[in-house]
Amino acid sequence: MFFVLLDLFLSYVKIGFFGFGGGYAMLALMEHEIIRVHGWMTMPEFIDIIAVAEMTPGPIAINSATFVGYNVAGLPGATLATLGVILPSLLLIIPAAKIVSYFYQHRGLQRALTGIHPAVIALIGFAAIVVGESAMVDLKSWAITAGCLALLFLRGTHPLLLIALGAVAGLILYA
Amino acid sequence: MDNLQGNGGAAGNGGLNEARLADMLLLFLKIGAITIGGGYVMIPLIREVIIDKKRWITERDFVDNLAIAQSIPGPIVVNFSLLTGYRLRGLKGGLLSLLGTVTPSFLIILGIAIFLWRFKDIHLVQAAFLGIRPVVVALIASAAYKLGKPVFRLKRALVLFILFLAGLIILGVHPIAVVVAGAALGVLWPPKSGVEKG
Repeated sequence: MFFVLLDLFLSYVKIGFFGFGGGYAMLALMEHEIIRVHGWMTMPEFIDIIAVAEMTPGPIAINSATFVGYNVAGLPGATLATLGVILPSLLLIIPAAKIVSYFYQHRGLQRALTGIHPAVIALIGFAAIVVGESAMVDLKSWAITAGCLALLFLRGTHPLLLIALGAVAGLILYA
Repeated sequence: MDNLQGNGGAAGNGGLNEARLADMLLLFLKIGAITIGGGYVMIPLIREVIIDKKRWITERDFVDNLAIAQSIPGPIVVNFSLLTGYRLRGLKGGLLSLLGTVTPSFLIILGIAIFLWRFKDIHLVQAAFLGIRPVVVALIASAAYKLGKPVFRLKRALVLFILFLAGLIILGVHPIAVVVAGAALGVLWPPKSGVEKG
């Protein structure tokens, strides 16, 4: 148990420390750590947790850390995973604030960010593909994804409404 | 950051109110408890309260904080609340703001994991989730598209993106390696006309 907790904590420190670009960009990293490296849950379980994180208040990274932590090792797991994902922010943000003017003018850092941006978007794109592989299992699910994309781009439908529609579609098509 | 110049400069520090620690904790607790949809929904709400209503911070400082929060790793709202609290009331302010942001989502998720997750094996719940999963794919894909649209105006960024995505899919490159490679390539192969907008 001790080593599971330690692993969980370190995994989330890693996810927080390399998680540029917010929650979605962290998904690829989480998938790697949680499913591939440690096998703590299956891909469908992981997707369901992302869906729950979308439906509940708060940052997605925190939501999923708490959820995964709880599923792997109960309350201590939830606490340590959440602390783990926050820790890098705690360590980095105050030095970043102290050197704020330097931070902006530093050419090297600005240049690094121009390379990190496309990397972050590639990670999000990759997360979509990996999640798609196990979420889009038949023609019906492809149709749901296509319908959602159309609603998102053409009508700007709220994600929460889309999830509700997805649940209804699921009940009609799969129950 | 188009509004970096904002109106903060003109307003100066004159009209600002001092933020009390208890108020900061309450504000972030409230925002943490009611905003569904993650960081990008929370930031505009925080902005409305701390600039327009409470007058704790200038527009310019707000945008600065947001830019820093997005430039360092970690969940953006976590970085942002920590930094805003820190700049308003020091370390205590930062920690209390962070506590406010994280606590509601921690407790709500814990509640779901403990009390509701056991129902997930029921046939109807599983059917609903089979319908929800493809929605998640669409949400993630549209997040990539939204973030990519301004960045890909520069061809160089698009080339890097394709390179990284191919590396992830075909070669199975580790996600951390992609971020590190992005930083290295950004430094070694800088954009021609100075620095692109972040």
